[in-house]
Amino acid sequence: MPKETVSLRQAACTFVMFLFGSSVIMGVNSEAGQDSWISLLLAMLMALPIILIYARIMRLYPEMDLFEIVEKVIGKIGGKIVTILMIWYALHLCALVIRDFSEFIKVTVLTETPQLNIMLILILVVVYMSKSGIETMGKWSVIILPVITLVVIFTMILGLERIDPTNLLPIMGHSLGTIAGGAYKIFAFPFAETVVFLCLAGSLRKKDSPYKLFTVATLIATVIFLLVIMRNLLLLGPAVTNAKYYPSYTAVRIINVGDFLVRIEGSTALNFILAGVIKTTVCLVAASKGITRLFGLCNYKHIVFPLGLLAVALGTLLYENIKEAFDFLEIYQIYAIPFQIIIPVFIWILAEIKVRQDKAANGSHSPDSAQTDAAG
Amino acid sequence: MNKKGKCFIIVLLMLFLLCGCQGYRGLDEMVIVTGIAIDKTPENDNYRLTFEIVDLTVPVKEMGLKGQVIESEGKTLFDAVRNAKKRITKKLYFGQAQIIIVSQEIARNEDVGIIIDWFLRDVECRETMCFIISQEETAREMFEIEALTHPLVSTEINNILELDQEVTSTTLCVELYKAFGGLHSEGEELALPVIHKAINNGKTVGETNGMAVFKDNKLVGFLPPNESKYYLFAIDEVKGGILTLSAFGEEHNISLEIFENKTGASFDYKDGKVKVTVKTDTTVYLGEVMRPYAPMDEKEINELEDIAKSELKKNISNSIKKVQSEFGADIYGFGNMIYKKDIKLWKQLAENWEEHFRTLEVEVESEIEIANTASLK
Repeated sequence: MPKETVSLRQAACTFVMFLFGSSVIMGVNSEAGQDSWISLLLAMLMALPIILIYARIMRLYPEMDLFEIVEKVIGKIGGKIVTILMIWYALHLCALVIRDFSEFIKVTVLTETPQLNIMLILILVVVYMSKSGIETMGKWSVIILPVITLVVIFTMILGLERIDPTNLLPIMGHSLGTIAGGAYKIFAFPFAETVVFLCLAGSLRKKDSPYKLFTVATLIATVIFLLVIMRNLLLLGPAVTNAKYYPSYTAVRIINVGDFLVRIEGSTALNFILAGVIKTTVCLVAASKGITRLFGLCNYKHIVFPLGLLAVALGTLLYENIKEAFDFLEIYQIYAIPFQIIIPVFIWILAEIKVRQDKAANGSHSPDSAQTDAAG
Repeated sequence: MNKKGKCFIIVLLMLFLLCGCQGYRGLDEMVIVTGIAIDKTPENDNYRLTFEIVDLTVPVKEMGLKGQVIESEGKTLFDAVRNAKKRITKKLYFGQAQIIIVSQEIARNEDVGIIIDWFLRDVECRETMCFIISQEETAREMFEIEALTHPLVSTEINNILELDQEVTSTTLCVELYKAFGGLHSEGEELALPVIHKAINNGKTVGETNGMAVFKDNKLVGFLPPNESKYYLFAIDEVKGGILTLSAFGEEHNISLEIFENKTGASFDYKDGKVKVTVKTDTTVYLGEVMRPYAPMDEKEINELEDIAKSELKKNISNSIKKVQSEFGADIYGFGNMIYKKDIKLWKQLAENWEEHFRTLEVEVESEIEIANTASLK
């Protein structure tokens, strides 16, 4: 099949949308209350090294995806095991996100519609997007990201009339442990979830720097998150923000500009769905690519649809109710450690050794390793 | 048939599958609730809810908007809400509800947090509903009044409350999410608006009547309008209203209309004692001088400013002192201010904040500037 490539800008927009994804409705409000924004900044600092490791893996083996890389550095059997693990993680994440979205829609808008219907319609869009390819997804992100950002900024401005700056006080009112705990939660969900992007790494052109992509996109996402957290806290205060499942939705609900611009919460629901589609698509494509590689199929697009249905089926089984969905975040931050930290770090170390060995063996014949040296 | 044609037919067929939504509710299938009154039945301790609904049985175009009242009873609030269906054909819709009126009795005996829960949990209800205490025996009586300027009582009461701040500044519309925030923030007690019945031109109408003071989430007393005004001064919620003064040897002969007010509070901790300073800075118009006309001169205006300052200062201090000694409920949020500005100190004081609040020394400083004397010299 022909190789799909995306430009740096498209990749960055997809990356930001991926981060934005479901975490805006459930992740970024930690129990740290008015100190959530400190948690967020801490989380970003925690995430940067690990994200740079992902970028380094991409740099060491440019234009290859994770499944090809592991086969190269670990060997066939070890590679297959890691591939299976990553397929599971991507598929599970896909199911989680779909479930979170249908849960959100169920609780807030369509309370009487069965969740399965919502999930099926969502997955149809996602499958269509995946079948259209990574390039289409990249182009779509470039158009949609400004829309999402504008909605956040717009709601922030409209809410200015009702904000209470003292809601942010006292700064550091929570213990350092709570704030760091919240930070780790944000680190695991969503920042380190970007490990899934390694599965799509083959689509980034060789001349584009993955370091730049990962850091810039992370910074942009952090700024948007910061705006969201500030908006929710300033409008609602820490008590309501913590009590509500979807504080962003509630925050926009109370906006009322001159009895004219009211009930604009649909805009945030739209935001969640637009970003969620990207996140699900990325996970679905990652899982499909893994399976294609695992069984030596020719084109990942053939198995996108069955995998999508599998994700929906998994999604319906995941939780009994919304409370479980939110409590799972506590387990998730531990469950995700192998996929987000251990496997990538492991691959990175092996890759560094392997690249050096290859270079020593081939002398200066390998253009790959020469380039890596220059960049590294 | 070519591929395009086939696709077109498939898309056309899909339209039938994907359009609309399950659980569709049109305007014809719901009863729009505009206000809710909450009482308790004395016999069996059930909740008795009274809903004001928009009457859609009469043509609105010709007859105008009309309200109707539905009552229902249940073991819990939600139970009572659904029990209303026994009397009407359709389900109640709360998306347009504007006010919740709670009876004095419930507010005195129960934690108001219990009442708020359902309204905040249910997705139909808006977080911006106004939360009100009825000073009458029951809350439902308030829906029997005659609204003077709007056909629906709930909308009338909601509008009265929302605009009150700008015209009289004696009460404050406390929205549901703010009430929840007030219940769950440190060192702060809740105060809610109060309404009661009044006679106007032989008819019973609704009227705001100051604020209700809560302590540990239970109603402990009321601040009448002439005191709640100074409560609003202390918490920086005054946006308008009249200050009356006595000057030139007459009783209450001067009216000052408030144009703008800014209040700031700060605190000082010394030798185990907290001292709070409340500073108000008000711009007013001289709106009325009840004496045979004589042009005002600079000296008189300065004199008026001085009288107004001391009068305002005295009234605010008295109102704070009354709340301190009578209720011991920190509705001013002084504790919250300490919590926000100095969390270490707050941790020491939090345990017996009520005691600290009762003995708190409050200093009030008032600054008043008369901006103009309206259109008379």
